[in-house]
Amino acid sequence: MICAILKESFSCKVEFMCIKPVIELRNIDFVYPPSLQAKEKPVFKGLSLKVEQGSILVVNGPSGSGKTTLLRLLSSMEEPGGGSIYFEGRDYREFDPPALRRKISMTPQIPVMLEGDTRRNLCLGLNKPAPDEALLSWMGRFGLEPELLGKRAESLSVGQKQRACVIRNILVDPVVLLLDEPTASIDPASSERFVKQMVRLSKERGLTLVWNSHDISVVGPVADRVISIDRICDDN
Amino acid sequence: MIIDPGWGDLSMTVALFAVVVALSVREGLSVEKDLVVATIRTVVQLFFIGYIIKALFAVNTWYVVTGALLLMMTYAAKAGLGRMKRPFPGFYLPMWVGIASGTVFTTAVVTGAVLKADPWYRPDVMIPLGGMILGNAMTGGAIAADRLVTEMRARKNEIELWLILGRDYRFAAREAKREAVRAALIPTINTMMTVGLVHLPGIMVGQMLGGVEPVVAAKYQIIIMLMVASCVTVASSVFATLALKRFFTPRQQLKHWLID
Ligand SMILES: Nc1ncnc2c1ncn2[C@@H]1O[C@H](COP(=O)(O)OP(=O)(O)O)[C@@H](O)[C@H]1O
Ligand SMILES: [Mg+2]
Repeated sequence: MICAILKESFSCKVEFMCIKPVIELRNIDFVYPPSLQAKEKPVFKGLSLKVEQGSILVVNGPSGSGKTTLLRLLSSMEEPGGGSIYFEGRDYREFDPPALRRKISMTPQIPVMLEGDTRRNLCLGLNKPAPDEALLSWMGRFGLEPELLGKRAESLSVGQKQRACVIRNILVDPVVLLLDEPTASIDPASSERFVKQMVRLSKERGLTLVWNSHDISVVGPVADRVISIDRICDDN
Repeated sequence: MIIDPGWGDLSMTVALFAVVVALSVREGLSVEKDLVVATIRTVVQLFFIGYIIKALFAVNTWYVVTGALLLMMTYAAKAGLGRMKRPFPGFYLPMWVGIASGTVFTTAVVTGAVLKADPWYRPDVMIPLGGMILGNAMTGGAIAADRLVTEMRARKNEIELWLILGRDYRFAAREAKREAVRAALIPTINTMMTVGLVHLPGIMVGQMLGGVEPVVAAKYQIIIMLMVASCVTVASSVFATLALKRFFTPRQQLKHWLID
């Protein structure tokens, strides 16, 4: 049987008694439904976790440990087999899933761009396109050249796409932003800039960040809390 | 003048059959066995249905006619799904409702408004027309079903992106649905483009051989072409609309494990 254990690595922010968790997981069990090829093993068993409002939570763990799965549960893209998840004190099941996903916005590990230019792709989450000035200002903050705005989005590099995806999620104006290895394909200098911008954003807007990273050297220093997921296997 | 082929005359079609089998053997197509079975089935099924229809034409009650059509629909839904490359769970009801809507709507317009059948359930109008419409609805539904699964698989990331951005599942999968309906319609549109130029439809040929005036036969063919277009469109869009739900959980999560 496999189970996931959360280890508190360090916690550097004074936690006030009155801070309410924006997201809380209670006793989550999760197994991927069996596919045609194989029977799945549980990814989480009895996982509990609180995410404080406005904090930066870094999720660390080796590849295959369940970081992406955790974010998919948080964004309601997977349904837990047992236990409950709460957003601002209310059970996920009380929310309309699309409305919930606009509040808890996920940037997937593999960036997805659709037909059309970057401009269109940045505005996919909006009902009407944002003005170019706004888009350009966001792009500038994340180190994307203005020329990219009119370029076919699919021709961007993976690192550029990843940052464009993050901007796309920010434009939806979520309460919680879930980032799945956002700096995996960016050079160290850009990574640093990205981390700085995210911290600034979190401060400015009180945005809560759940940040997956297999390498905590980049984001660890700015985290309010780092948790590690270890997958312990014993084939009984 | 109607030529009614006698039983002996009919058996001369064996020549056609022999050529097909000979070619299959020579070219190593290894479809001889299937061909024999298919031919026997064609002969038996058509004669069987010929007599059934003859009997149906004789009964003049609305419930027998409606009952026969319902039975055919139920079989058509099953057969339509049987043609899928890989079966997909939960498609039966959408397929049945799709075929039924396409058939009822189209048959009602053609028998009611165009041909003004009196009484409305006239079996010699309802059974052949209804059956034909049904067959086309089934083919359309089968194409839509296959294509829908293919498109959902190919667009998995796009669909999940829309969901993540807070769109509902109908919006997220609307391109896949559009492609499925379009694919179902393309053969019909292509046929309509070339009908009369490249080929004469079997029914028109059959009618003319049966002694019907060519212009009258043409009128019937026009009705039939539009009928096919209508039933395919209605059946495939109703099917795709209902079937789309089967790819998602009640919490609007893509059941990615079904299409991986
Ligand atoms: N779509 C899926 N279907 C079945 N199993 C999956 C799927 N995605 C991930 N898994 C399994 O779940 C476990 C956790 O994966 P994941 O959450 O992607 O880990 P990480 O993001 O930490 O690399 C792995 O064992 C992986 O094989
Ligand atoms: Mg991952």
